[in-house]
Amino acid sequence: MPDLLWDRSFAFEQSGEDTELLKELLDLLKSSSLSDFEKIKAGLAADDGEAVADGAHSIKGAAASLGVEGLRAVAHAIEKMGRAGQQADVDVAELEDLISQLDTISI
Amino acid sequence: MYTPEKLLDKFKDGKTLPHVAIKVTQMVNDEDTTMQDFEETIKLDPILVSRLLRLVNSPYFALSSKVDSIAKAVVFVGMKSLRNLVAVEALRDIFNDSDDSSGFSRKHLWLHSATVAIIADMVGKRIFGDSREDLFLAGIIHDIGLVIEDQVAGGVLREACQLYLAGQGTFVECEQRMIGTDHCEVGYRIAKEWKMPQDVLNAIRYHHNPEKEQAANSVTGIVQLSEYMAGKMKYAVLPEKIEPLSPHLVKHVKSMMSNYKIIVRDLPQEMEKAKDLYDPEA
Repeated sequence: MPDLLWDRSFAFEQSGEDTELLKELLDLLKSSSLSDFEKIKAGLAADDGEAVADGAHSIKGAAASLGVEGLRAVAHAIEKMGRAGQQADVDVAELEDLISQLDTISI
Repeated sequence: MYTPEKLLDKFKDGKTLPHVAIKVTQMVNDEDTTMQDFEETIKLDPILVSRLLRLVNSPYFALSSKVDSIAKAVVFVGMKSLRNLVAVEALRDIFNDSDDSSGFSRKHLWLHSATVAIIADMVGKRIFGDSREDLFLAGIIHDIGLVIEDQVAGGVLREACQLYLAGQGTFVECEQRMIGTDHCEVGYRIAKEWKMPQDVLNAIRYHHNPEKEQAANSVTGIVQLSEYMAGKMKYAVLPEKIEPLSPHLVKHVKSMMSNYKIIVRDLPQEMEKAKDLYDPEA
């Protein structure tokens, strides 16, 4: 099973040690990732590598800004495959699993 | 005749990039900058905060929910994209600080710059799998030297344009002959003072330099390609005449012609989505 590899201290530092703000940002990461995940799935269904890559790029950036390294790395790999037109080889199971794990983060 | 220093000194008597924009650019170059440092700096300018949030929520970013703070905007679009938007806001003011009465259209130059930025972003992503935000920044700022020349030595710049249109050399050669320097060098120097990243500085300095061969996938190479495409699509600075592409870039475009054709096809739609960035009054 993939791991989120969340860098808690980085995330706290990023949000200026503000727990409320960090909680809000993590909720946002969850909801935006879910919506980007839908875009990736739609891109895969339409065989549209750019759409897959754009959705993954968005997850990658949001995950990186909050120190969720495992999610960032998986999204980055999907983005690269989408840009290279290799969307047929993309497996979203790992990404889906990681996004669902975002609920388990406790701060 | 002017030296780059003399042009810059005179220009700086008037409008320049606001302190917050320079600071934000500098912070993004520093790996240790946190989201909170970034937000606090931008918050020093409350008007900028509202302008940025409006752009982040515009169709260009196609976000699924509304963003109401800079911290959230960092999560959604990232610090580098926000830095680009800060530059867009600051440069738009500088570009449009003119009544265009003397024939050289700053508004036209602004539209050209925005087009090059949007194409550079598309070429980076779609041709080279490169989503670096510096591509957009390089595109939007690559002709800043022309604004400086226009502000300080507008009459002579127009003479250089006439000389160029009359076929008396390349655009840069005509600038050098009439003004004493060129917009690439002047733009490079001011952007350096504004703490722009090195690949953006190179793109400003070398975007008209076919002798110094730039790899097609470098920021400079992508700006050259994008400027050429913008020209072909009637978004040139001087639409009457478009400078040819370097032979190695021609070869590259030919090798990926079908991908470039898709970019040309999709550009009008991308321009429409980005309208709030370059034409907020529309």
